[in-house]
Amino acid sequence: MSVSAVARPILEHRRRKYRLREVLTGYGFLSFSLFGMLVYSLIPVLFGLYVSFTKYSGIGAPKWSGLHNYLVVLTDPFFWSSIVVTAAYTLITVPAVIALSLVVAVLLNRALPFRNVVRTSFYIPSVVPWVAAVLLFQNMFDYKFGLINQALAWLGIQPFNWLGGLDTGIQNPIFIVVIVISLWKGFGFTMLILLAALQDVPPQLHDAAKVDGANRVQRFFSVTLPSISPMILFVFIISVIGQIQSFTPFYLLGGGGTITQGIKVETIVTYAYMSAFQSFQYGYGAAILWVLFVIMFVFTYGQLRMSTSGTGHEREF
Amino acid sequence: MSTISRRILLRGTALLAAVGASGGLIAACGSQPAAQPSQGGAAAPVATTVPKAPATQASVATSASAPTTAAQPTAAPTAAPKANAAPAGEKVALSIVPGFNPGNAKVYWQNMQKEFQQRFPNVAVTMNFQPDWNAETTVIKASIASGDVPDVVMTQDNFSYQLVVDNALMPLDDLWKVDQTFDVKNFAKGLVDQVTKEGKVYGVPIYSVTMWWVYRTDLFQKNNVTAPKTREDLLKAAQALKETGIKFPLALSGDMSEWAGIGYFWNFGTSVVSVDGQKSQLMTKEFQQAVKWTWDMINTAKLIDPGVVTGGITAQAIKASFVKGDYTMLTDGPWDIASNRANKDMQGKWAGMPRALSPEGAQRHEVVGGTHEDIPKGAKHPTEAWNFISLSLSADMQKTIPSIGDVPSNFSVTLDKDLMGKYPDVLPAVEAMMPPTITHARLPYTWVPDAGNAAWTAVQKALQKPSWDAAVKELDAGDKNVQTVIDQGKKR
Repeated sequence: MSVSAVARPILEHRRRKYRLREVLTGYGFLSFSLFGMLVYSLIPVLFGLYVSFTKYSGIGAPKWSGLHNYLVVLTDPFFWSSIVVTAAYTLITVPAVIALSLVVAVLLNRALPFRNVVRTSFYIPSVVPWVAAVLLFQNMFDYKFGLINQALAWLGIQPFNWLGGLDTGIQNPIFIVVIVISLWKGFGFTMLILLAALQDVPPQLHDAAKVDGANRVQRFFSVTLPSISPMILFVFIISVIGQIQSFTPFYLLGGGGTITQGIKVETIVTYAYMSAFQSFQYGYGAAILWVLFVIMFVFTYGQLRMSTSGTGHEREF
Repeated sequence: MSTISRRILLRGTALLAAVGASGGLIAACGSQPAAQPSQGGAAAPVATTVPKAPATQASVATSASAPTTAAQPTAAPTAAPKANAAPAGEKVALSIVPGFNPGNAKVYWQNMQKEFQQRFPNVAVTMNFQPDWNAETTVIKASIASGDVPDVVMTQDNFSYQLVVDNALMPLDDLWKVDQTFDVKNFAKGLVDQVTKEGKVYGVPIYSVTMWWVYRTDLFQKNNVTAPKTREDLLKAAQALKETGIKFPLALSGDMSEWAGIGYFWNFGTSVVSVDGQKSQLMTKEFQQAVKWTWDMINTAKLIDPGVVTGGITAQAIKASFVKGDYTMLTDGPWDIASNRANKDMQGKWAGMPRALSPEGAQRHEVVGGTHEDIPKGAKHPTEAWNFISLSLSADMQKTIPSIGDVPSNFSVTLDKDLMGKYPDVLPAVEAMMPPTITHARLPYTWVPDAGNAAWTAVQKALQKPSWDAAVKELDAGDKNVQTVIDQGKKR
């Protein structure tokens, strides 16, 4: 028997022992985060799932009700109108934000005077808290004293009741106001990501396209856009997820700020919130949010499958 | 000298981290200590009388649905509750989550705390003030869910009802049976009924209030118009004021959703949802008469500013116009007394009055809202908790409430003419709830607030229509919407 034949199992044993130690050490360091995730994320999520199958007012023990909440949610006309609002809001704001961000990012990707100042000023709205942004626009759209109606009056147009419409859902002008706030606040962040992506496009590709005789528009659609498409997909997915979860502007502008008022423009999340925390129906509110989770999961998974198949960008995600 | 290798250092750190995390997990999963039994002798029997079966909404509704005239109050009790609980030497820690009109009420509760501790030196009271009703509701629910409940909580009427349905409160009857100073007849029956289940009462109102009109006394005097008492008088007064050049003498408060809107129609003797909670009432003859009266005031007589029902003018802007003198009468709530007192532009220029009587001049209907004092099930010191409630509801303490610009809930105090004569700004708020007014509790169904919002939106739309036929069509659409809200609420 050779020495190497004797030494191999010993070495193998040591290697395994070493790997085990490394794994345990790794988990040891991870334990704080894992503990936090377990206590503050996983347990509440699982409890939320359990609660969605119960009748629970937040007091006493939840009473098991099986699929009752889900069946009621799916036949609830107010839930479906909240889906319409959420879908319309998402379908309008996400493409608009991405298109606007892309245009601005392309413009700011050139050598402009005070380029950094301009970039920063475009990004500032993204760091303004939602509540402050809503208050700002609330003043601007105020019926009597708002800047918008004063500007309309200056142009000889009758003042418009932006924040006090009686219709519900997307027919209420609050819906338009929220879209405006969302565009103002949302595009800075998206622009920054797309700007970074634009700066990563290899200049050789543009040079090669130029040599091939491509003009500026052709280069944009044939070189720039395909090169940054993984990043566009990324911002598209995170924007969709963010917009579907939209809560604050609808809650504050739609009347949810006062305990006795209903919300005029109800999204899925405000509806779940009102059901759980205003009507004390936590089981029902949890069921709404689990339906929202399923919608978002299906959408995101489908989007990823469709967008990455055959593009060679699977690895990015 | 031995050195510590990097690997050992890493392993040691990881081990410590794992132990720490496990310890934290175990600590987090640890159960709440069991509630200690009360020191007071009366506590045990009270705890055993709490019904264990969960309540149905119908069982509570039965007791709360019938409209009632205000109870005839009894003579003012003067004796304070006696110290009778903890054995000498043992200090009882009593925790309170106070409520009712936070802001101007804080002074009252601080005085109350001092007074209670003077009378009950063996009890240390902790007041856990909350910034607003939302925060208070959250704190109460979280404490009940955790099992570590305060001894006394103060809850808005709808929330009180929810706690009764959830079987989260102790019945108070057995506690007040041994309390010679307390008589439940001195409190708004509608609010007591709202928290009565199977003959047991689970809360007593510390605050009861209904909507009223505020009017500009200076403008009324200047134009020789007297405060109206009937709806016909109201119309005449508004017309007289309009003739003096005031464009819109009347205004409805901008914040008319849910209870204010419901209250407005109860004032006409009709409700938004039937008292059994099952049906929308928007297409009933009575409801349409009520809307028609308001529609005429806006569209025919042009006495009410149409802007106030579009939602375009905020409640604050409407109030500001009233202060300015653009409107001479405004539907409002007595919760504004303190802020009106503080407003220099309003001093000597305003007064409140009960809303006008029904056209026949016989009766006034009002929805009474308010705040209950309750003892959560599992409270450690129910006897001391009751003593606190009893003192806060006693004439001794209640007579201090008008001074802070609020309305006493104890009718024996509100009947004290000498006392109330000193507070003419509070008196009409009391009169609005006293006989011959017929008071109604808010209907105790979880879907009523949403139904109220939907109904008020439909009414607002109807009031803006140029023809009454179009207004009726709007009410018809609203009726279907309200019925959907009811049906959906019942399903949940």
